[in-house]
Amino acid sequence: MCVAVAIVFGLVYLVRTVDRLGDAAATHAAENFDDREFAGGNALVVDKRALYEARALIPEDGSYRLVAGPRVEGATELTEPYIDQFARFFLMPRRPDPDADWIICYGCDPAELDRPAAVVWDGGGGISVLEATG
Amino acid sequence: MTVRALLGLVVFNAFLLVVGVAVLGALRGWRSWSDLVRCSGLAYFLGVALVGVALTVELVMGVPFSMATILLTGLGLVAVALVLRAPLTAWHPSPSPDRVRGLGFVTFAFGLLVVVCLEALFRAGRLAGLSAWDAWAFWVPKAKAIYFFGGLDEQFFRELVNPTYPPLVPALEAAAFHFMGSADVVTLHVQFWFFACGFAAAVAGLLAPRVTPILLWPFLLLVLVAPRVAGRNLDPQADFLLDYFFALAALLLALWLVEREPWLLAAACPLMAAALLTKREGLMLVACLVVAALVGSWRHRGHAWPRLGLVAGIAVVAAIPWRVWFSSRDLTGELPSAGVLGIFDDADRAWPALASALSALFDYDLWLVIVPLAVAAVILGYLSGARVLPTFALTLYALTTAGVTWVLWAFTELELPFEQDEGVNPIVRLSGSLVVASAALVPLLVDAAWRGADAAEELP
Amino acid sequence: MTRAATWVAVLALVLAYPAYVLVREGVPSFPSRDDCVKPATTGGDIDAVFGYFDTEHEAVVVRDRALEVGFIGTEMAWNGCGRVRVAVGGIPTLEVGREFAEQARGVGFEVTLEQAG
Repeated sequence: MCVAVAIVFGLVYLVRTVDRLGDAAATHAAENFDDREFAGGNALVVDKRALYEARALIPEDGSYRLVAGPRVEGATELTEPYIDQFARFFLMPRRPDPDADWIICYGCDPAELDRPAAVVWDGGGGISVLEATG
Repeated sequence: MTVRALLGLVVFNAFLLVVGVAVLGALRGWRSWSDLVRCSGLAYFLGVALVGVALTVELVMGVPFSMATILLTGLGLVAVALVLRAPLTAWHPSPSPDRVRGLGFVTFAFGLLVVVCLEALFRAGRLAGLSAWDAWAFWVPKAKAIYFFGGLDEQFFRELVNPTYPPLVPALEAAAFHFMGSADVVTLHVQFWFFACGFAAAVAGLLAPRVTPILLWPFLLLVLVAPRVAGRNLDPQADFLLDYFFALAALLLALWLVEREPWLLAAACPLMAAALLTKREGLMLVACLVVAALVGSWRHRGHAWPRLGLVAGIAVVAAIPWRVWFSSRDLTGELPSAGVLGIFDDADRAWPALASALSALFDYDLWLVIVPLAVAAVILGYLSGARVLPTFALTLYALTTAGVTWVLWAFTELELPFEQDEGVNPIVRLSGSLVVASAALVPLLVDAAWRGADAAEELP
Repeated sequence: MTRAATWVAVLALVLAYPAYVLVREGVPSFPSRDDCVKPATTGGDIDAVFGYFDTEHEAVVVRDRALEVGFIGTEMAWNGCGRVRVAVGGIPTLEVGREFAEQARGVGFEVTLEQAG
């Protein structure tokens, strides 16, 4: 009886599983490069350009600080609390450092930064990359 | 995402297999080439476990993590295995006629279906982005930190989420990055496909000479196609690898209880050590395993218990350096804030915690009918007169369920009844250990029920 | 059936699923940043691409220089593969495109022709 149940459920769900995995494979293959690279971050990253810019601008042995705030247009409820974590993953081996010269402003108020900083890139919508000047 | 990355993973996993074959050669030996092929899944997992444990200990000791370190670690393990091969010959099972029948229809048909399932899994995983939350939040960042900085970087291992989680999986992922030639977090999913294949091969290889194919293959297939298993086992995080270590250690202990071959117990040791170093709940799962084995060997405790104690002790010793590392840095989060016994302050959480644990275990949409079948197999085993295997399995299932309940009960930040989305639900993850273990244990139990006794009764 | 024939049959069946997928979906792809580059092979809507850059900062320099020397309509945009593309669109045929590329080479640009969209 146990064996019969295992066979029936195994076969029925094998067909479903192969079908579902096939769909997943097709979806993954059709994704563009950005979507695949951001994957989980798509749920919270509002503007991919900012992180790409940061990755290109900040040297690999450099450091940065991400200042998140509520001023991001189009932010999800995950953006402000978790963008810091995602940036940490995405920008590695660049190190987060509260005193870093490179600043990724994700909805922050640049006027409230502890040091004067020049905007290096501005994507609009409250997202920019700055470099401390003072 | 490149051919080079895929080939790098093939080489890395071949490397793990070679290490495991050398170790299995020392512990058990093999009677023929087909015997070696049959044991290759277990050998692979021994390689994964031992390389993972060794790399973890080296990381804790501050050994720079590089390609050379990985290769020398593997070669060192092979060398030790070759040296120990002669003295351990006494452990090798006596040559006996091969009990595996030829490639019968059931093995042929269901084996093929398992292969198709794994092929489909490979297709789905090859280009998968890193979507799993925990994977990008801390498992893979830790691996990247090891890869980029050559060790347990103080900053990242302190600041990332769950800093006390052991680094075996990040170490293996970092090793995979080295073989792939870059921190390719997409192709990394394929590494977890190798783990899944290795697990299926290990279960099939261990059970093929012991149970009839009609008991082995359908249960293995059933576990592989369970929605949660098929949907999540390629996520580059520790959950399913922990389940594989746990399940294979459980299978080896169960076989040791009825066959008493020393190599079975010895092979369980690195798997238990690896489980301890894979996730913090590994400690709970290994404790459940050891207690279940102690209970299962009650009638032969004079012989069995010292050996079990020794093996468990070695596994625990391997896990100590990591605990020293994080304790010395005042990293916390390993235990509930109220302590292990804090549960008595929240007695009203006990019943909802148990109810939530049971509902996760018996959730059809996640695990189909695997746990009900396991329960039925235990009952059938008892009814037919078998004792050792049903007692071991019953104790293991009961203790692990109690352990899951304790987690829910003690970590008061978890709301009860626990209905979190299954993607981030820790209880679903914990219940996976018993489900995956069922792929190995249920065929043994049903076989014991079929024969009306477990082999232990026949031993002197 | 001989042992060898059995194993050949097993191998054939094991390969049946991948073979079916290959036939249905073609050879597997290995994505790279170049996925977003689609060289122009026919007429229609063609873009003349001045280059791909990791930052908008680098891209702006090239776009501004192109505008400066008279390539009106030169724009930059992120291309979906993590790079910034500087290009001018609306080229109707490959022939016109080649002439454009020749002209651009004259003022120091290495332009490639790509299918728009």
